[in-house]
Amino acid sequence: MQPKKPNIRMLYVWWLRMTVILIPLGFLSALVFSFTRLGGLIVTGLWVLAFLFFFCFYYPVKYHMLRYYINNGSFVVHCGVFYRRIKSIPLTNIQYTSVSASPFQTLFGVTSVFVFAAGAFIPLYGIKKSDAAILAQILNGNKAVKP
Amino acid sequence: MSAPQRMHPINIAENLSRFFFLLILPVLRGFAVAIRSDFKGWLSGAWMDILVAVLIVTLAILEWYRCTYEYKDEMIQVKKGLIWRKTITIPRESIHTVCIVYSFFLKPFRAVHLKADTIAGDSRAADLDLTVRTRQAEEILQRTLQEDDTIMRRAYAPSWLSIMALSLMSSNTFVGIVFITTLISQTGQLLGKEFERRIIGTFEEITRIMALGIPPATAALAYLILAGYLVAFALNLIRYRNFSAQRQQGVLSISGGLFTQRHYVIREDQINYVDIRQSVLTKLLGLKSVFLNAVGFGKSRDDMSVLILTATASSTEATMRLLLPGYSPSKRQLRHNFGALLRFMMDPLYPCLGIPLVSWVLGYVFPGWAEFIRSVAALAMMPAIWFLTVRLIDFFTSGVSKNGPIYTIRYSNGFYLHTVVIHEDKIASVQLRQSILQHMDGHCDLFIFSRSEKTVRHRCRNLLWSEAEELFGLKAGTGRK
Repeated sequence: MQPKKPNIRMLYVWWLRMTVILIPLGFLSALVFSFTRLGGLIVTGLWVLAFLFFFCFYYPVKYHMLRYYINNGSFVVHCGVFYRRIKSIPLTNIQYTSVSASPFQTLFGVTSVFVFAAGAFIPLYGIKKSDAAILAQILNGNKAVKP
Repeated sequence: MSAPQRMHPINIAENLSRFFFLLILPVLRGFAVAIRSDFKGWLSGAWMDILVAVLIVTLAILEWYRCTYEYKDEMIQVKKGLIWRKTITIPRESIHTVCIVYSFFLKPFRAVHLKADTIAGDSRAADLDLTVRTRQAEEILQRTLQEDDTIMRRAYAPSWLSIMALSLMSSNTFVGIVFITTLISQTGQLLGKEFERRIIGTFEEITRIMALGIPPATAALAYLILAGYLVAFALNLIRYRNFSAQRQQGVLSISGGLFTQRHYVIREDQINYVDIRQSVLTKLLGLKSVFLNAVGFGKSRDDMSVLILTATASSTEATMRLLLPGYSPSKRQLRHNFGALLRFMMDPLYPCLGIPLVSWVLGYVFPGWAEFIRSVAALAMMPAIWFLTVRLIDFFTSGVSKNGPIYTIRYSNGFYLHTVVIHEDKIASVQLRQSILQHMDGHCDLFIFSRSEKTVRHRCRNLLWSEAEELFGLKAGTGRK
């Protein structure tokens, strides 16, 4: 199986989730510190920096590093931002899989696939719903993979 | 054994503790009466207390009566529950480990605890726990794991020196301290607070006499640690007394214990991994201990998880060939570079440098406590330097290798050096992790998760990324080495 990338829409999901969390929090903390002009400016500046960091660097790198494939009887996922990671589970050790979608993921038509073994598990984000069903079937049934 | 059987009647006494919560009713009534100081009122309502006690006993008997077990069609079926009935069915093939616990307080009743475990379910407790007659337990054991008395067994029984050495190495001071404090507290409850105060007062007096020039508080701490260690050592001696391990066909049979004897039967194909463990002392003396990781083996705090007690390297290897011929460690193939020294030493350097610094600062801020702070810091430096030594040895010995389907991983965790021998089928997951600094020279940390009920992780530091990828077949389009 050739390495596959998750759907680009997962990046949009992460951006949207980040926006929904950071903007209200930033607004609230600026309000709390608004008793001093300098305090309010610093807090607002920090939140803007955090937003830019996640928007321009963290989530794009996270998406760029993410890919998955089946190789030599193992399910392999590449991921990570500051730490580059490879995670693999032998197909024969997979106990079950779980496919789920948050409201934001449902909005963009993507899901998360969780692969469970006895003593380990691997999450995989940003798989289209139809692809998730096929992937789960392959992983649960240990069948030959279609390229 | 095709008809449903009930557990040993002693199980009624074990069930009593489950209904002790009902005693809250007489306790509350007693409180209410005590507030009113009305003894006659309490006596007139004593019938309610008696009724609660009778209810507890009745419920315990009903619980025992409604619980049955049956071995039928290659399955163990247990039915239990008073109001909510539950039927648990475990196929014979799913059972990884069977354990019989011969508790000393059950021996007069000829009863034992039979425990069976599968890889699913709660990782903290056995999936099946029955109190049965000794004869029935041994019958279930034979049927479950099909031990055959006619086939030759290979047996191992350690010397008392091995038992002493393992007890010395594996005794945990904290366990000993918990045991002492529980003993003193419970004794005080039985014999009165005055008795408890006398024990503590005697300890304080002895500490003051034997302070030997160091602050009494520090001396008390040091003697408490020593006492905890000695108690833990004694408990371990009792646990490993009469230890023996046997192999017959594909089944390992391990037993041991003085007052409470435990007998485990484990299928060899259900062993997750073998762990050859050394401390700094045993490493320098050339001694090794071998532990097994299997479902249901060594689960609870009082259990043992050892296969071969502390012995010389050659003796350990010979015994492993006898009991587990398929699990031989191989020589290191992948190892880290010399530049990884700081990576190994970083963790122990924090306490080795931090403790003197913090004690100096605290001594400056609280000059009246300076002597006590310095002596506590000196005590705290001992495990820090011990940890540093372990990491230094780990730097020279850690690595990974593969021989056929068997991987050997050498690493350190805490104060111990581990050589883990694991079959590739028992590896749940392999992960490589590379930091930004490691990316510059192409190295990574290897994490192997072994197959078990809970997450067990083995970590090897600073291996070459490309070599690790090749050894575990992680590169897209390539096979395993």
